[in-house]
Amino acid sequence: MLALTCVQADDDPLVVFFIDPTAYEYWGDAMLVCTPGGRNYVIDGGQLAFGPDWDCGLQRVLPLLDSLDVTYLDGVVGTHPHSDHIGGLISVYDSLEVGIAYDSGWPYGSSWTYQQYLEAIVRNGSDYVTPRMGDSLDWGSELTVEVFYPKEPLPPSCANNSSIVLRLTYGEIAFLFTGDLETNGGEDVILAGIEDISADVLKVGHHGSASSTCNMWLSAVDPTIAAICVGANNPFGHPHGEVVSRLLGRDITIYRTDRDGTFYLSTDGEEVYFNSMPPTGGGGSVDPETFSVFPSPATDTATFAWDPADGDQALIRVFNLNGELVLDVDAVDGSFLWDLATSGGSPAAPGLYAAVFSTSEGVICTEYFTISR
Amino acid sequence: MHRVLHHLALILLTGICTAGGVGTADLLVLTSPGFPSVMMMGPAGRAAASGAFAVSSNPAMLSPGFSASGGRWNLSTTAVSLGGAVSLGGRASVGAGLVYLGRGGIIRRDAAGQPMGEYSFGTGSIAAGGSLHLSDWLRAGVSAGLSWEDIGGDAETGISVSLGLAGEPEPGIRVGLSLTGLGIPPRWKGIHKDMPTVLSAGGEANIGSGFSAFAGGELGFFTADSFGGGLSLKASGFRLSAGYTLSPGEDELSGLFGGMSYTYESGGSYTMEAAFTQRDNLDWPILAGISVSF
Repeated sequence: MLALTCVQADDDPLVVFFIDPTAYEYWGDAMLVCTPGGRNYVIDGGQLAFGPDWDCGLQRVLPLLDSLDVTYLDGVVGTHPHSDHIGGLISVYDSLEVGIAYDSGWPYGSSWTYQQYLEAIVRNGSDYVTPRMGDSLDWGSELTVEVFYPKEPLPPSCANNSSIVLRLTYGEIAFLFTGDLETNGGEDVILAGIEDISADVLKVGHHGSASSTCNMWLSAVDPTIAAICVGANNPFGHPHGEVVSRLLGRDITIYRTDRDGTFYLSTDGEEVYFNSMPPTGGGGSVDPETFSVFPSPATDTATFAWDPADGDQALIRVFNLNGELVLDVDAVDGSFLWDLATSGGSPAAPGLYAAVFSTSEGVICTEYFTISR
Repeated sequence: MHRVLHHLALILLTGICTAGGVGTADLLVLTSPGFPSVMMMGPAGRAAASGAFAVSSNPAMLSPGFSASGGRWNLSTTAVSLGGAVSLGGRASVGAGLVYLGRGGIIRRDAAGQPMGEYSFGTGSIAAGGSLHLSDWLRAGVSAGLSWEDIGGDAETGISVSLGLAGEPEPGIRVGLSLTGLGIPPRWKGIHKDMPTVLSAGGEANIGSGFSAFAGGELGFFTADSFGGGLSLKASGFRLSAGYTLSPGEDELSGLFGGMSYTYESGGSYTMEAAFTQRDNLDWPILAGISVSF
């Protein structure tokens, strides 16, 4: 269980958590807003995926809520129907009572995940709301929550551009949440329709993809802090270098889940404070030094060690120089002692080996070692 | 000839009796393809690929020329290979070759797991051999050499031997049979491990319109078995090949492979080539190289 001893509710009454979606090669968006008035809202829940199985809602969002003693959610925002945003919300809806389900309403009938998500909302009994450009949401009298997007009619062919875009303002500080909004058909529509979209903190659109966050958008938002929700091993290269360059070129401070792990930004309405979280097994918490094989070279035995914070259980597979699987074992509690015998019981030959750790938290790390009899 | 076949049969039987020793073989550099021409034919490549490099795979496939390649093999080792051969009057060829795999930056750890610096691993094989025409369509080859492993400065040496047959029973059909990884393994602190002996068979046949089909298999006596095949297309100096390897019980070794090459003819054949092999948990091996054929 996580302990947030560093959150000072009296001094920093608005807290926004950016939850690390890192697991295997998965990615996604997941955020939690804890308001000064004591309300709690989840914005996206990360990915639900199979092979390898991963449920960001179950593995990351719910443990965070549990650590904060949150037993009721005033609202859940599914920015748009892609599984890396709403997949993890299924477990959330099935675990906690939720007041209002905010959904883009974009028709995505062919998606199994989206169907499960809608059924979970029905099971939960939440009020179903589809915010639209110009709406205001009641998240407490101390906050202003403006809906910048989407607008009717919804774009027929691009779910990303149906993303619910919200500006959350507390005192002098504003956060802009953008989902996967893209430049063409999204940012340009907002720029044409809303005069003031400025914000101090920008949740960078689409995990830092170059299809989002154009220079005109950045000029209009004019943030001082950019937060990027991105999986550390995502196959798309997010965040893209040109987006990072655009941000750095404007002296915008970047926080990103693939490097910082789960982090939170808190504000008293005047200043914004950054804090990292205890390791959760995500990108920012992976320390290669926490995975090791020793002694190396090994002569009689080899100990495989990892930090249980990266997962109590680990599947350890050892491959030799030919790529043959020499050892395949499930281990627990952070260590496993190998007698250097192959699965067939014969002594493993001297040579170079790769140990691939896959923990129950979805962290994968490869360590190289040798056997020298 | 009969004696060679007799020995092959004996070794085959011995290997079958000792099957199940996967992971116990030393000198696994001998099981690496070394050259893209071999890799792009999958399990058929060791027996059926022809070139100046063949002293390292099937010495009966030796042909005059020079080959050099480099890239990445399993466990992200850096691969460097060289091979050269000359003709001895038409019926015989002799050649020599080197295959090397190395990796640095391995963290040295003591018995308590404390980092004690870094070290490197290197393994290689250098061999010489020759091929001889036994008839108009059949050739035999043999090669022998030294193989070694160096683990953080602790090095041992073994002797490796390869035998092979190569034939072209019909125009456009090429077959090969090789037995590699024979010899004497290194002695580590007085203990001999196993040699990675592999019996390989493969062939390639033209099937028209520039296409050829190839297939083969490798029976490993202290390493994994693998079987596979694919198609190759030749056009305008280019060659594209792709196929699939199935290695029973070894998911990591099963997968796609492929490659491409371009050959320029001008007083000889100059070929640039590259090949890859699919992996799931490890980085994909990739080799690229050049070769000159006379």
